[in-house]
Amino acid sequence: MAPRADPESTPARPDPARLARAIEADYRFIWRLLRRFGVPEHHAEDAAQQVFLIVAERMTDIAPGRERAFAFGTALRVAQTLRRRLGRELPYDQQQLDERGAEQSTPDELVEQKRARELLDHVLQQLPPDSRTVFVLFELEALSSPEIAALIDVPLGTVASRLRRAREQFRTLVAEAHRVEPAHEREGR
Amino acid sequence: MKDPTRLLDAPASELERHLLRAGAAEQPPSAAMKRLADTLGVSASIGEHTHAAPSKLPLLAANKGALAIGVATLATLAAVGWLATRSGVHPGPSGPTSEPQQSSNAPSENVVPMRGALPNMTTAAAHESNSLAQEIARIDAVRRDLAANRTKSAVAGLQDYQRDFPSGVLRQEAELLSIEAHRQAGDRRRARTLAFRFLANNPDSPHSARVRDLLQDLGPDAR
Repeated sequence: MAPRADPESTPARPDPARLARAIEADYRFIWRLLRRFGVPEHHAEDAAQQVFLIVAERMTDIAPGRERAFAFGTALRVAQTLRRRLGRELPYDQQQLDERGAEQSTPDELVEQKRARELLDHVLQQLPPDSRTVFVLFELEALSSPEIAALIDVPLGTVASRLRRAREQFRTLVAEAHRVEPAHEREGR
Repeated sequence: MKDPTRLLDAPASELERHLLRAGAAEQPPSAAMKRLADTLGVSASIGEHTHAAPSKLPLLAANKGALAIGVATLATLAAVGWLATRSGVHPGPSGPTSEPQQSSNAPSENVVPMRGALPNMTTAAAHESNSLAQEIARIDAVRRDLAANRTKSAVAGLQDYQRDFPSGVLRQEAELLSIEAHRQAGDRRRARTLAFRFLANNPDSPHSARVRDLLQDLGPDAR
């Protein structure tokens, strides 16, 4: 087992440069993960901040090169804790349109993107957590299978089987959502 | 082992691609990372190349998505409507809602300061950090007990932690310390049981590798 910091000593402040590198490299990745794991947009910044506070607190215990893996595991727990605290399913996140989006898109595009993400998140939440994790990392974050295996600490074959299962479920759920559309929507076209 | 083709690049339905593009293109607010860096006091160490980068996906997505919007919009709206009907949740208007918004610069009250100043935390983050600071203090106390071989005190501290923070952010670390505490106390059987339970419940945890190391140390026949 890797030696740990002496718990009797005064806790050291993390190396600012190392912490800054971790933030720079992984902030957006972590923020998006939090979103895909059910954190509403107006809570995502606070949740990401919480993740990196923990990273900062634990930096001296994190092996060099494992910052992303630690932040990733922490993000999953923060998302789970937050969802439990909010006490409800959150696919329909009714936040205001965010400042970034408002800078870039037309109102129609924003509405459409928002609704597409709501549906995506609803579908993702129906996947088993293990499958969802692999699916998000592969399909949305474009990580390779070896990168995912290293990040979540499972064999490559496990990544492949979880991804295969997740894809099947994703396609089934999307097809179901598409097929069973309400009559008033069809009539409205 | 070769990776399969991603759905965005594979024959997939337009709706599938549309949903994936929307998720991959989502970005945090442009100033969010700077606010975090300010909070942690590392703004000066953040480099210049902090432009908004989407996920590693080649996004064509975000732009090409505009072309697909017309096709996918009706399908998405219909599907969202169906989900709303099924789940009993109204998708809601597209504009602002009455949900209270967090003030990004609201002063925080009764916040236990963590290591380093956190002057710009949002109210919600400050509230969370207060609880988090308490969790960290408890866990650090347990670690000090273990370092000083006060295993009974460590186990008691962990039981208190688990009672007071059943959904705590550091509960996995507490479980890991619990395994270490029982091993240190000579209760290898209990330590093994806790280790197996941890791995079963948290296969993807960043602590899993350490728990497996502990299991190896405990040996195959610990009874």
